[in-house]
Amino acid sequence: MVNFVIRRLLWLIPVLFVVSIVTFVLMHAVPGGPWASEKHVSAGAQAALNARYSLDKPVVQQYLIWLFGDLAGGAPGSGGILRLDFGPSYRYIGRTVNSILLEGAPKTIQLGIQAFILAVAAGIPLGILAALNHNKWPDYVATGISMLGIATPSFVLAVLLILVFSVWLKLLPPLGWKGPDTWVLPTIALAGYQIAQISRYTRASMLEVTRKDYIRTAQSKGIVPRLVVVRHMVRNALIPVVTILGPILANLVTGSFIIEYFFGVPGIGRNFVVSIGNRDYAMIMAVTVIYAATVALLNVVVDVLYGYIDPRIRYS
Amino acid sequence: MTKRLVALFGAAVIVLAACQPASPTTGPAATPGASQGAPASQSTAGQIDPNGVLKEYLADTDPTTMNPAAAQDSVSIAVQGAVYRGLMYYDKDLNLVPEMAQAAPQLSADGKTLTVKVKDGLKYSDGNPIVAGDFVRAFKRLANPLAANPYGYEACPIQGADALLGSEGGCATDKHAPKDEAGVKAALANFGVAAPDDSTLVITLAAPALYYTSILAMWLTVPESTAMVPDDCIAAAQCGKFDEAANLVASGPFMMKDWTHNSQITLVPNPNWAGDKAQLAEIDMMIGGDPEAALAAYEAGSIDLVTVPGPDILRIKADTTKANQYKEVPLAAITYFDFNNCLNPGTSCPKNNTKDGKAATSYKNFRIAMTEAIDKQDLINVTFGGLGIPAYSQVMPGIPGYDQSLNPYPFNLDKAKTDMAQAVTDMGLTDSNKDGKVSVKDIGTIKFGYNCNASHLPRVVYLEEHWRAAFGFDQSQFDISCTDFSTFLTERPQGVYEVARDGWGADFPNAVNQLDGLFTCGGGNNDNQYCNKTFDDLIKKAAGETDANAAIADYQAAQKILVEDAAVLWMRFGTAGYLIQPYVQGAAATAIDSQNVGERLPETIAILQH
Repeated sequence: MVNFVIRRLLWLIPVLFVVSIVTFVLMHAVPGGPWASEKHVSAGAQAALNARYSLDKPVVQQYLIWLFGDLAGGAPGSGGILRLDFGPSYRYIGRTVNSILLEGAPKTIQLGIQAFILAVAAGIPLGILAALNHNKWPDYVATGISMLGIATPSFVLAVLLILVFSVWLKLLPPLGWKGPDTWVLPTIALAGYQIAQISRYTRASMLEVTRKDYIRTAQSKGIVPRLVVVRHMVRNALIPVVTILGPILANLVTGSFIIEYFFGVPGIGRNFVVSIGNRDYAMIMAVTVIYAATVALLNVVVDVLYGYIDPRIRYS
Repeated sequence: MTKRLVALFGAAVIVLAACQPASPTTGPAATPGASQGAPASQSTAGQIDPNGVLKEYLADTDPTTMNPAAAQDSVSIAVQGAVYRGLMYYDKDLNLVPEMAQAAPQLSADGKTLTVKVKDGLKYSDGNPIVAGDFVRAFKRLANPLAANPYGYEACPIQGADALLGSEGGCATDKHAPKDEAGVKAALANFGVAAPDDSTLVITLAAPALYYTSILAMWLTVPESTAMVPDDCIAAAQCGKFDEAANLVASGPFMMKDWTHNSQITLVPNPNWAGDKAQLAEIDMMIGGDPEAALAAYEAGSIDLVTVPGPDILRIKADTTKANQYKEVPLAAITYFDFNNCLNPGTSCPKNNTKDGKAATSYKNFRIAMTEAIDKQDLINVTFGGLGIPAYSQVMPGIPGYDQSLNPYPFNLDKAKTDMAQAVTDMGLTDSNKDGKVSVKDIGTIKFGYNCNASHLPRVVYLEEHWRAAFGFDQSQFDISCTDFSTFLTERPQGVYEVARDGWGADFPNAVNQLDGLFTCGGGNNDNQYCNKTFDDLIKKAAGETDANAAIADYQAAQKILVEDAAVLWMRFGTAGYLIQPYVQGAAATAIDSQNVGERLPETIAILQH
């Protein structure tokens, strides 16, 4: 088990290298640059900025600077990613990517975890409910909700929530991240799609398990129906669900551009999209690598969780 | 429990289903019941609330910097207008008035020396005195090439700036910028800004530039305290810290109490401000969130004023309950489409099947015909919700030099067709598509570019359709491409497109800012590749005038040449529609507001008891 985890974690290193190199190459291959602006920046100013951010160096050296900072000829004091320094922001003058991400991450993670808890707490019961009432009206209602959830883009859900709860009912503020009342709408909007996805997986998986021999055995042994559901059905049905929970959690805690942008949540999600438009190279690299690392780590966690849910799975 | 849950979900389905048909952008919020505004009779009777807090939505993004010399984006400039002030400023009618200067600068007989007396007893928010040397520091930082200030070129007219910024910094010179701090320090020694004593600032220009008083009103030249900008780093690439509220020293009517990045900026009155006293106890500038969500926040009553996003204008205007809250203000901003004039040296010119192989847009009669085929008022009605003023020339209404009568090529389809026939002859086209006749169809493809954005698309489609209908272009002849903003901004100046979306917002209300650099040969923002020596000479002449009216006459003469050449397709002078609660008093709407109405003069705003 420990060997397995260590081996999986070591695999992260080459994965992140490949991700960073591919991102770096693609980012520099795209036309345009960080200093493009509707009112042009003079050639002299662009040259001075390129020198400040080491963009005047050969591309290979720029990558090495990203890794090693001043050891590879970067600006004095730059640490490079290997010393956990993502460098200065190109967009927000005088701020570092580290400070921007550290400031935004707690909000994004909080929003992500809230949405995750909501998605699991609503999605799994909804799926179970649908499966236990297969082809009866609760199933249709639950399936209807998940179809709606899958089909409704998050920005549409966001607009609807604002319209109903802010403009019409005046219950909740539409903007900002200043207290529990401002947390509600973004959490629901972010969880909407995931509730639907989780409930669909749970339903499908439950339906499959319901027809298994061991369920019939359990029922014929005279076990109380509730225990059959909880101990035998749900536990087995959750294995495929847990598989998707890893990526879902990774997705949620790294933030959603649309939800954060729309509701004005000062998290890091917006940086994924905005940094590309701004050609904020340091930020693009940072968010890509962090996202890749989060997904990979949570996949390891999911693999470990399998062992607890399904004792048949052994790590060798 | 299960039953109750099911009932709850059932209810949710019904609610969702009921909401589903409504389109999210136009929204069922158009129903009158959705709005909430204090009745005017109640609120206007109120007295000024000494504890009044103005809550507003600043932007969907954080200001990029509070460094005056480096600021370029409208969000940063909007905040800086409240926190920093300089020698000159604008009143609510955009008249240039002394702010920290005792009077308007005194101009020497040769027009090359500006002498300004700084008012006595001025103080920063931290209590330190504001002295003439603080302005010198600001000018030096602006002209420092290592600092890479986007507006550094505004220092070019000053004597010695050519040796600092060089030709690459946008100055008209053969000199080059120094590459290191020592070189900058040496060049700064000969820079023409000095403070002979604490109350006198002397600016020596290399050549007369009458408009330079306007630069003294820009955010770039505000006084910088030694607490914020230490003397020893003036020549360095980075000097001072401007990224947190605690580092900022205010010289304006407000100071920054808190800056929670991407969330909120809180401003409070600067107790040492010597100008008109702020009447608000606080301004809360909310940052982040879609402009549509900001409008919803206004409608829900959580912010006091908001700029109405374009798609909502018609709905808000139709809403009678908001009639006393909705206002419009003309902006010093223009939307136009570049024609590639193919005259600027060093840029590319797309190829067409013309006799010289150059782009069709390099032919004057072609540009004239294309201009005459467009009914600009109709375009504004169709694609801007009727908001805005048709533009037939460059200098905006409200800025001296605006010429309403200058419209040599009004909408006229018959004349457009005649002129296009002439253009076809001028271009020396041959029957390259072998359809038996020579027409615009033989030009080849016309590259038409814009940056991908849902709000630009209607204009692009409108132009393409009307040009095709007027002249019979083939459907495939317009090679329309949208690219992301950064790519577009790289390609447009290179002359990649024949027709390209463009626009300009005034940095300061003087015609020089709307013409110089935008249409002068090789100008820094010349994306239409126009080049005309007579025009350039008039722009130079205007800067050298010692009489303001003479300068305006020169700018008008220059603009006439430009417009008669149909250099670009002028389209629309901007107008902003905004909502403001009746209890917000004294918001001075100016044409240079960008994020919110009244942002340039926040000290005039008060909240009434309500």
